[in-house]
Formats: sequence, C-alpha cells, structure tokens
Amino acid sequence: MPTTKAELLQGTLDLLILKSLVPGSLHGYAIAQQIQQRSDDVLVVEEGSLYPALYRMEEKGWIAAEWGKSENNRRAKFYSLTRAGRKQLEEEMAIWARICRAITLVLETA
Amino acid sequence: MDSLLTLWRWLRSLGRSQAVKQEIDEELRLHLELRTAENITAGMTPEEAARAARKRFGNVQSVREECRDLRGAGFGEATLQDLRFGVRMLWKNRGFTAAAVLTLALGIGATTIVFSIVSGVLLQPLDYPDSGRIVNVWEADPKKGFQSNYTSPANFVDWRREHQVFEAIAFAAHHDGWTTLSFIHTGDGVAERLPGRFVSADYFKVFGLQPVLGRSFLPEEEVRGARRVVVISHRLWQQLYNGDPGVVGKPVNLENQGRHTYEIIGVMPPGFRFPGADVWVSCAHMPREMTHRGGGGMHVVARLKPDVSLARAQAEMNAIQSRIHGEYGHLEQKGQHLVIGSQVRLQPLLDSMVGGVRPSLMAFSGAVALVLLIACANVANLQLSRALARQRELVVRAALGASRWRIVRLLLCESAALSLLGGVAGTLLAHWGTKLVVQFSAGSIPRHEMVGVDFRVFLFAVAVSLITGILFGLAPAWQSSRTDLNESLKEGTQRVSNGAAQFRLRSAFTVTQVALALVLLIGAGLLLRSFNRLQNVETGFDTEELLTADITMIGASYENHARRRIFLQQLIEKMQAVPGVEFACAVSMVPDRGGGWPTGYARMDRPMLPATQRPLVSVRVVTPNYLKTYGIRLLRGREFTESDAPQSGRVVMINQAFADKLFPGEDPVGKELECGGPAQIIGVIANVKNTGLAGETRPEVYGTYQQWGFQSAFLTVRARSNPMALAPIITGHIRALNPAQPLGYFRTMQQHLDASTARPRFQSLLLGLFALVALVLASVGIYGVMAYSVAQRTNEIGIRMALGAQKSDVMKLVLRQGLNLTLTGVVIGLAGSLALTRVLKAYLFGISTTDLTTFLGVSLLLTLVALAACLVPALRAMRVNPMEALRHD
Repeated sequence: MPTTKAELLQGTLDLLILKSLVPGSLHGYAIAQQIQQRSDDVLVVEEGSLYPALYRMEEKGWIAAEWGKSENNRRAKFYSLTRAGRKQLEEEMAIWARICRAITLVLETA
Repeated sequence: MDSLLTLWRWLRSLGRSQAVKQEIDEELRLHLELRTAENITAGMTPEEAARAARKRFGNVQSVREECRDLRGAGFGEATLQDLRFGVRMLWKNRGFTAAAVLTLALGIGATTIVFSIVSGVLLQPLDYPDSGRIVNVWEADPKKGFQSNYTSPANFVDWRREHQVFEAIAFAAHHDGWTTLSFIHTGDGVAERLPGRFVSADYFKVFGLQPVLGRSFLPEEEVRGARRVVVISHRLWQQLYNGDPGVVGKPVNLENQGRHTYEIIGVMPPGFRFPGADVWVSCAHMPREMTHRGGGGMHVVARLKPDVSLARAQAEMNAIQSRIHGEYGHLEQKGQHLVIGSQVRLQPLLDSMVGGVRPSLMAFSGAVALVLLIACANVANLQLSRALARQRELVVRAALGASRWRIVRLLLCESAALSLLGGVAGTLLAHWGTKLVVQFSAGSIPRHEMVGVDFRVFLFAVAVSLITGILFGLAPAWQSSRTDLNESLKEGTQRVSNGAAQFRLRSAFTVTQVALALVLLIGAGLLLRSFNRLQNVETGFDTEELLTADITMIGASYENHARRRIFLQQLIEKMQAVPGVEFACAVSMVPDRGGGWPTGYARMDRPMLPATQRPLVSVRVVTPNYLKTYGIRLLRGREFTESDAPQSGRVVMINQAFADKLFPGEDPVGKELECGGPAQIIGVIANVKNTGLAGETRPEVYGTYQQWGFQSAFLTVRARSNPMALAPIITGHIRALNPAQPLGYFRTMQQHLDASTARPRFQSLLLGLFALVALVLASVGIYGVMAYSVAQRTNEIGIRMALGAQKSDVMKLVLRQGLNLTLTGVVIGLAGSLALTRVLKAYLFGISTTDLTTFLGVSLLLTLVALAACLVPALRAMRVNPMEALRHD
C-alpha cells in the first residue's frame, strides 16, 4: 500500500488522466477541467503534479503528444491515448475496481 | 533500469535542451493564461485572476524544473551550475585548493617522470627488427674470473662453422691500437679521428638492417685480397657529403697500418653506428689474420634463430667452446699462454647497454611509488577535513529537498574541478621534469635519448590520484546520508557522531605518511653521505693541475715500436720545456681505472708454473717521469730512467698491492720476476685507486715504454696552474712533430674523476628530491590533521580555558597530540627503514645500511619539521576565545 499522500494521488492521477483522454485528445488545462467537472468538482487536480505526470506517462509510452491550435488560437500541446495507454487504462481500472470491491466488502461486514 | 533510462534521455536531449525548455515554458504559460481567463469570467480583476491562477498552480519554478528534469533537459544546466559552484568554493578555500593541487601535481609528476625513464631506458626495445634476438657472444671463464671477454679470430671462425642456433653471427674488431681505422678528409692533410671498424661480411644481417643506399658486403669480400670497399653511416653521409645520392662509388681514404683508398658501396640507415663507428670495412683488410688463436679483440654479435631459446643456444655454444678450450687452451704463443675461455656467455644486446642501471632504476621506481602513496594519503586527508567543514551545509541542503544524487553530483563536480587542476599541474610538472632530468642525467644513464613522457604511465598516475581525490571527495555525501538529519541540525552536533572514528582514520593516514617519508629521507641521507665519502676518497695521486690527452699512435708514421718511442721521447722533451709545465709523461692508460695488459707472471726465484697456468696481472706502460707527474710516492728502490733502454736489462716497477701479494714480508727490489719475459724489480710504488674510486686497489706491474710495445698512450702534464690553458700549446707541439697524429680531446684529471662519480651524484640528487617532496607532503598532512583536530575540539578548549587552563597549556596540549602522531610514524618508519635500506647496499660506499648517525639525524629532522607543522594549529588553539568557544558548538 502506498504510504504517502503524494504517491497515492500520483497513482490515481494517472488513471484519471488516461480515462479523460478516451473520447479524444486534449491539452493539459482541458484535462484538469475535465476531471474536475466529471467528478462534480470533488476531485481538484493539483496542478503542480499534472504536467510532471503527463511527461512521465509520455515517456512510458501511454500517451502521445502533438502540437496544435487551442480554442483561442494559441499553440498548445495535445495529448492522446496510445494503444499501450488503452491497455494500461484497462489494467488500472481493473485493479481499481478490485480494490474498491475489497474495501466495500470489509466495510459491509459489521 | 530507470537510471539508465534517465541517462539515455539525458543524452538524447543534450542537443535539444533549449528547445525542450521553451516547449515546457510555453505549455505552462498557456495553462496559466487559460486559468486566468476563467477567473476573469468568474468575476475577478485581471491582477487577482493572475495571482489566483498562480496560487492554484503551485510553485511554477519547481514544476518547471521538475518537468525539465523529467524531459532530461535540466541536467546540463544543473551540472553547469554545480561546476560553477564547485569552482567558486575551491577559490574561496584557496589554502585547501593549493595544498591539494600541489599534492596531486607532485604525485602525478614524480611518478610519471621516473616511470618514463624506466620505460624508455629499460623497456623500450632497441630499434632493430626483432631486437630481442640479438645477443652479444662473449668468451668467459668463471674460474679464471672473466665473464665478458672478446674472442679471437680463429675461435670466431670455428663458431661460425659449427653453430646451429644462429640466423647470423658476425664480429666487429674491437677498437684498440692495431684495428683502429681513422677516416681522413680527402684534400685535407690533417687526420680527423672518425671511428671505423673492421667487420665480417654479414655484420648488418645480425641487426636486420639494410643499407638505405647501395649495398652491404658480399661474402667473397671477406676473403683476403678482396677489393677495398667501405659502408658508411647515415650521419657521416649527411655531415660530409650533404646527403648526396651519388655518394656510392666515391673514394675515401682510410688509415690503418698504412693509408689506402676504399670505395663507398653503401650507406646505413639513420641512427645506426654500432659499435661506435661511422665507417665499416671488411675484415679482409684487417692487419690480423683470421687464423690467430689468441689475443682476443673480436666483439661478436649474433641473431638467434626464431625457434631457438637463449638457454639452448647457450648450451650449444658452451659445448663448442669447451672443445676449443680443450684443444688449444694449453698452447703458448710468443712466450705467453693463450687466454681462451672455457665457456661462452650469450648476453642480450639490450642488457649489455642498460643492465648496469637496471637495479638503480628499479630502486627509484620503488621510491617514487612511496611518494605517490604519500600524495594520495594527503589528498584523502585534505578531502576528509573538508568533509567536516561542509557537514552543516550538506545537511541543510538535504533538509531543503536535495536528493542524494543531487548532493553527490555537487561534490563530484567540485572534486572533478580540483582533480582537473591537479592533473594539469601534474602534466606540466611531468613534461618539464622529464626534460630536465634527462638533460641532467645525460652522462649517467644509457639510452637517455629514448626517454619521453610515457603516456601510459601518465594516465596511470592521473587515474590513481583522481580516483583518490574523487573517492574521498564523496566522503561527505556518504557521511551525510548516514547521520540523522534532525540530529545533525541541532546544536551541539558540529562534532558528527562518528567523529572519533574519522579522527582515527585520518591519524592512521598521517602516521603512514610520516613513516613513508622517514624511509625515503633515510635512504636519501645514506646515499648523500656515501656520495660525500666517495668524493673525499684518497686517490693515491695528486689530482690537481693535471691535464691529459689521448695520443694513441696509429698510422703510417708509426710502423714499428722504435718510431713510437722516438715520437714519445721527443714529445715529452718538448713538453718539459714549455713554461708552465712542471712535469710531463705518457702512460698507456690513466691510472684511476683499469685497462692494463693482462700478462701471466711468476717469481723467478721459486719453482714456476707452466706458462698456461700462471695467474694474470695488469701491466701499465709508462715513461720515466710518471711518478713525478702524477705525484705518486716511490716507496722503495728507484723509478725508470731513459737509460732503461731496450738493450739494457729488462726492468719493472710494482705497486704495494702486488708486493704484498707476491712478496709478503720481503723486499721485492732486486728480485727477478717473469712477466712478459724475465725482468728485475727496481722499485715499489704506493697504491693508487686503479679500479675507480669505490674499488679496491688492484695489484699492478709497470713497464717502461722503451722495453714494452704499446700504441695507446695518454700524454699527461702537470701544470703550475690552469692546466687547460696549456692545451693549445701542446697541440701545436704535437702537430709540429707529426701533423698526421690523431689527437683526442683534452681533459683535466678532475674531469676524469667527475665522470666516474656522475652516476652516484645523479642518484643521490634524485632520491634527495623525492625525499624532500615526501617531507613537504608529510608536513602538509600533519598540519591538516592537527588543524582538523583543533577545530573539532574548539568547544573542549573553551571549557578548559574557562576552567583555568593557560594559553601555554592549550598549546602544549596540541603539540603533545601532534608529537604523539609524529613519533608513532617515526618509530614505524625506523622499523621499515631497517628492513628496506638493504636494497641500497650496492650503492653505498663507506657507509653501512644501518648507519646510526643517519637514522637518528633524519628522525630528529622529521620530528622537528612535524612539530613546526603543528605550530600554526597550536597558535590558533591558543587564540580561542573561551566565551566564543562555549557558544560555538
């Protein structure tokens, strides 16, 4: 089990980022907004960790980056899921589901 | 694996780091702008919006750096920053930097110089193809006491006919009276003494060399009556013919028992002048027959066949020689028995050139290794003391979030900068040092032209020093990772928890340094004292104001002994008449060294052994004024006069050593001695050091020039003052008597003697230099450790002072600690010296390897120097303000 708060967030952050890229490619700011909105404003991404996480995942080959034009015609870097990323996402979602079920089970038994 | 990946990323991004940085900046900037825009639409003012965006983002700078690091772009910049910081710190602590750089430079420089010499002189193969196969072939007879004799022509012929083990075997006639060739400029009447040798036809084949122009000898040119042809050296070709390619076929005049014209048939490659010749002539024209079975004179060299070992060749040649010795060893010739060795000794060529210096060079290698060790210990010491000073700083850095890797990189950069400086200084020292040493040692070391800075050695020394420097430079990092951060930041822990262990480690280093330095100092001291003794040796004759000149008499004007006698007689008469000359004489060889003619002897008033079994004595031929010129005492009887002529009775003088040997307790004067013929002993003269300054006096017999045949002669004059000034006058007289007389160079007796002490002088100077370096390094080491100790104990000193200790007590405290360290080192060093100085036994003259005075004197010197090194820290300890110290942790 991860012990420090930072590590836990990092692991979950990766999962959230990957999921948010499923519909299509987004740039960093948009990813943060997505996660916040989808989670009903509960999960506020710590922005200082966002970009390092993106770079890490890019090096690992889970996402790919491409420069393009943002909404206000500025140059922005768009990230998209790779095939390896999709696989990673599935795996992590499976793990997350298992953990959730396990915790729920424990909490339900008295 | 991850770190490899990081390294890969870093390498990849080295080129693009600027671009990557810009990309990151751009991306982050966009994010902030978008956030700001959102805040504005939410109702904030632009400034508030911007501020809120930043606040929400967090520390932009650290994110930027983190991103850069992830993309590998930040590496180069951070490293550069660390390097700059490192250099600044080095500059700030100039004392430390200077000490470390000096130490590194000395260690690297000294090691490189000595090993370059060793490599160039001993290890570099000779410049001939497959030179390991070339050997000298000596005649030897261990029982009779000779190991390296030239052989005789008939023996050589037998060797050549019967051997199976050589690719080629050849000889060069030894340079003595009857085989000296002198080369004469055409058109110029004055003879120039350029050396030449008679050689057998495949002489050059032994060395594996081909002429660069023309050809070498054909086998038939070795037979008597062949055409007179000559091969010349490259140097001669350049000097006298200016490298003219048409030189083949030109005539030259050479003189040996008559002047003849020879035709040039070839030119040898540059650098070859073995065995000391500029012209080579076939032995067909030698004045000695190849059937001559005694008398030596042939310097034989051979090339082993590729598949034959030295041992096998040695065994075969021994068998051949044994047969020769059995067949001819008992024969006599002209009343003397033939000197034929019972064995043959094969000596590799390189060995004969450098074998003499090998032991001393090896000793020097040992000495310099010690110096390197001391230097490394010093660097380690210095770095460790820095570690203490930086403990705080590094702990703070770690607390602020620097990763271990970051801290290590920081220290690495600083160590690297230091090592670089040391390496550069060491290179310079090695380069100039090598040049200087080679120049200075030109007379004492063979093959000194082969010595250049050896890159392998240099790299080795650099590697060793740098590894030490860097290794110990990382000590603080290793230290800080072990101590608990929290504890270290608290007060009272300037003393790191394992400070005691560190102090022991550093003390161990220092004690080692002191011990090693002592060993070197004692060695140098012994050598210096020995050299001093050598210089003061009584030679047995008066060496002041003597001038000598080599006037070996060869050539057409000296067909027989009578002509030589007349020449010498006239010359000496003229010399005596020159104002400023007290006495003049001629000798066959200058008395301070050997070179007499070995002759069998026997007392005639006792039963005499057959000629072939008689022991040998060295005979020196002199003219009547010999004793007065050289200032040698006549002990009994009389010396030679001009009336001791060829027709009158044969007379000889003997030296005291010979008298002691053959006539113990008797008066030899008047007795008859068989020596090259019957002779009467007319006088006994005092012993003279005739085998070099360090050797024993050998027994000698002296004959007068009127009654002995000889060609080599040294004219000697005793001047009233300033002997060298007489040189031109003497030259004039000689030329007047015989313009064609080849004249060797003039030398004073003092120059002769200096030449024989050149090597010991060089050795003691070099070792003295090492010892000095070791002393300096050891002193610096002691200073470092004591300074560290004082800094460590500042608190304790403060307490002591507050409790009533006087300044002098504090100083005594420090000095006592320093003395402890030093004395431990001295004791260990003395023990080591007792064991190690026996290595020097061969070089010591008149002094034992455990000379008490040297041992004690040097120990005292080192202790005093060490105490002086402790003085500064002691003074600093005295100046400690107790109040400050107590507040200080």
